[in-house]
Amino acid sequence: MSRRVNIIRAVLIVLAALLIVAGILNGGLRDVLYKAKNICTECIGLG
Amino acid sequence: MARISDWWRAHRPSTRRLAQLYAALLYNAHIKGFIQGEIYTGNVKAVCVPGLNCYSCPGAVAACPLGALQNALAASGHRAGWYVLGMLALFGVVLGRTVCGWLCPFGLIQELLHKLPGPKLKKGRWSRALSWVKYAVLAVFVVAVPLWNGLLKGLPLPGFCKYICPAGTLEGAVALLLHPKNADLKSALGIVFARKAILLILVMAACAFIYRAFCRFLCPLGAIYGLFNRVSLIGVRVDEGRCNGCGACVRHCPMDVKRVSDHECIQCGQCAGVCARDAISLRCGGAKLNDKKRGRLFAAIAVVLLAAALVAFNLPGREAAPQAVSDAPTGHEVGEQLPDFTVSLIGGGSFTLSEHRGQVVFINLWATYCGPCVKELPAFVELREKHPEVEVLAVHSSLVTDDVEAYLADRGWDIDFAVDGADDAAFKAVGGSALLPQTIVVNPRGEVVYNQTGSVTLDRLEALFGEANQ
Repeated sequence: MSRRVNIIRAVLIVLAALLIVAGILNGGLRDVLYKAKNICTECIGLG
Repeated sequence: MARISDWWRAHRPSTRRLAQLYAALLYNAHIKGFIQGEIYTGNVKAVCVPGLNCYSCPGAVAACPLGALQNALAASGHRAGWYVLGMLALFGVVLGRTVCGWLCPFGLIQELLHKLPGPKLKKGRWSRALSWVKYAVLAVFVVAVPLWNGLLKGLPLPGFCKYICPAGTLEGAVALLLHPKNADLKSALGIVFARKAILLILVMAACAFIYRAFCRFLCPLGAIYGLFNRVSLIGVRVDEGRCNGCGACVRHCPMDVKRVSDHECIQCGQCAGVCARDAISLRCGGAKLNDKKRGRLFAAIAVVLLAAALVAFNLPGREAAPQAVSDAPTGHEVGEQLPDFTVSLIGGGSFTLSEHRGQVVFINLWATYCGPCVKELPAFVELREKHPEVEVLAVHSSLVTDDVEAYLADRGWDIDFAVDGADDAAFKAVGGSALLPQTIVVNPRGEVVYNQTGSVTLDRLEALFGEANQ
């Protein structure tokens, strides 16, 4: 069980890192930044 | 002196409580935002924090992972949200629901509310059944609503943020509304805010009687992290060799767990205190997290990091003064003369405000990723069709995520569109903020008659046209 959990953890960490890098390369990081800087009022319930 | 030290010994915050307070302060280190009534717009907002912390909070220095996920799903038609999925997976596999128990400001608020005197509802089959509702909230409001509206209607709509999130209502909407500078936001309040405010009050009232009512029954972020609980690197673990199966841990736990560290466990470690066999501990991998020396070193690093954040995020900024056309009082408040500005138009040509003296000018600040912005633009187009003598200019934020020209070509809207320059000259000239949409109406004398954040309808635009022409 412990060995299996360690393998799952390692795979998930590598996968997460790859997704983050892919997201930075495809502009996803910039999307998060812009949508956090310019907030649509209805999106926070001001409407 | 002895009384003070006795009081302190009886009331000193636990390590977990200190961690919660620390996280709340670190996520919201932009303290001057509360004083100035403005949100932080620095580049650190590209980073997601692990807990539920609305990025519209004036103090927030980073992005909310749940808001970012919904926006990524809404935009998945033209860009996959790998970055957000990667961040959620990373937080999940490293921390699991340790985020909920140790690093979530809204979790802290709920626990403090539960300390209010009054009857407390014990968990049971009813609460265990209700704990599944958060998965439905995740599936419908976090996933389905943004995907449906984004892919099929071209309308960015973060369903959970807009309709449910009490953290956003409290930390974002209420915090902004409380500042006198944002008084004009009150005119934008409608049914959406009313529903969310009622939900916030119900959630907070429920938390006084039910431990962490929102976490247990509604929080989709907890639902996501719970999926990682059994494999997370950091978490509460049971030493099966010592455990005698007495079940005291599960009975004592205020959450709806069936066993320690299942998907309902927020890894708070309270069960460790009731285990007679000392079989439960908070661990990182195989190592117990109770080394005092390492703990003190970690705490010292954390304090330095927090101090650095509080300094860095509260340094005074420099604002460029708007360019004035004449000696008349200039500004963007109602009654003032709007400063002149020029923007290049999409499709060629340029717009200079002073060249439209003698006309009523409607200026709309928008973005393709702002659902209500996109929804109201047809009203401006219709206004222009009805009143060709009016000038309408829609200025997209300089923060562009799509090809705005291609976006507009698909829609055939016949008004002037521009994208603000990197210096945000147009946004600054009209007093644009980070809140969208925003509409500014200028009369033929160049004076501002309306300048407010929030959606407008065609009827409202017609009324403003009438006011501007008086």
